[in-house]
Amino acid sequence: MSEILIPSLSLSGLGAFFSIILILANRFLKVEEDERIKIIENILPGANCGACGYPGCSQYAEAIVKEGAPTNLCAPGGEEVAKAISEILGRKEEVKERKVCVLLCQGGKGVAIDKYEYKGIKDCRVAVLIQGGPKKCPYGCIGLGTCEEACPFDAIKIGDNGLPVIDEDKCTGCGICVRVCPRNVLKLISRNQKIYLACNSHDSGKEVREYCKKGCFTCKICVNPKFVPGEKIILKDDLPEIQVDKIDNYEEIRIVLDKCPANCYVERK
Amino acid sequence: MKYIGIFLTATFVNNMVLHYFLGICPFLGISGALSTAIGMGFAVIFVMTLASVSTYLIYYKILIPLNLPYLQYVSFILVIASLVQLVEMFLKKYSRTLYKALGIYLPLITTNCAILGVTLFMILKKYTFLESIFFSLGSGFGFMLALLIMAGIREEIRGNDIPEGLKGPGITLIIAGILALGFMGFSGF
Repeated sequence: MSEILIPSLSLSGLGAFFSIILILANRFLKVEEDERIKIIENILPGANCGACGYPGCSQYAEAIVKEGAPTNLCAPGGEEVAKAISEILGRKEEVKERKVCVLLCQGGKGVAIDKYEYKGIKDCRVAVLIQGGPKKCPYGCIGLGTCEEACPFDAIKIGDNGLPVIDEDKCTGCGICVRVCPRNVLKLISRNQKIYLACNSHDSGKEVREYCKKGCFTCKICVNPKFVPGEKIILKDDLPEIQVDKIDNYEEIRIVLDKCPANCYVERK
Repeated sequence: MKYIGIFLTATFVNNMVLHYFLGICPFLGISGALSTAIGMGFAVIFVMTLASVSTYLIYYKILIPLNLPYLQYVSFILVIASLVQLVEMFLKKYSRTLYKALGIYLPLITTNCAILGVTLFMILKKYTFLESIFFSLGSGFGFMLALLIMAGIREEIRGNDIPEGLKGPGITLIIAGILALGFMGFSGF
């Protein structure tokens, strides 16, 4: 009996001794925190996504109160949260433009050609290490669902064609998937941008045609001033780029949806 | 003289990080900048010394008389964990900046095997009370020395043109290996 009793008693005695010390220390070394930090922390969504640039919501709340960090950094919370926080602090902040994540690739199953069959760990960051991923296209989406797993808001699902589908109602524009994607094929765009180019390939036309049916092969129709005047779309590194600042109404460039021979342009709903 | 010998041996010859390879996690994790490395070094020295003092007392005044030396691991971990908590509260109150800079690595001192290593070595080498204080102080300074060397080198090479595949952890591990080779020189073969 005593073989059990003595060790357990002495260990619990030690434990009790240290807990008393810690309790005392907690009493004497307590830090008085600003109560507004707690209130702001409760307003923040609590997703701890890190889109604001702080490790988590509580750190961001602390930074707002103590260091005067801007109140509009919370992407998931958006306007309402920024307003609510500003009200508590009596500050006026500009509302940040809301963003949404889009996939710059349409090369799903049967559209983009595979280089080899990948049977490894289901993670794009791993797959990309093996000869640059299973797809022939070195820019396209690998589609193993690393972004799906990373998304804290459940807004990304891998669709039937092996590409992620982004639920724009759920997407908060926090940018976690953008950072986690090894291909940089996800991009945050303004919610106002209705039309975007869903291809990421900077390769020359011949190469793109070999590996993808829906890839931009730099035909330069969309940058032709005959169809889209005023340099609203320009060519950069063999890939057209929509000049967002020059466009007020996306009707102006709607023509590219029909003109693009590879159907690279996509209209958001 | 004996105490200085123990101190210097623990600092250079039997360096916790570069000879025993203990405490590698904070060694690689917090050696990005000199200022945080200094803070971390002092925190480790503090915890290490206090831990060895209290574990010495617990081992020789409680565990040995009760014939329970097998409880050393559990009770030592208990001591270290409580001490780290104490240090954390103390830093939170008196040095907010250091508390923030150390971040997650502060609670991780709990699981820093260098500290448990020091307390166990102290028992293994049958040091007296005063000897174990010098031993733990020396080990703590050795840890800080390794951390500072590493942080200094990493600050120097920050702008260098390192091959893509070696950036970050890769080059850090290579530096750690070369440093360990250098410290082998102290043991004389």
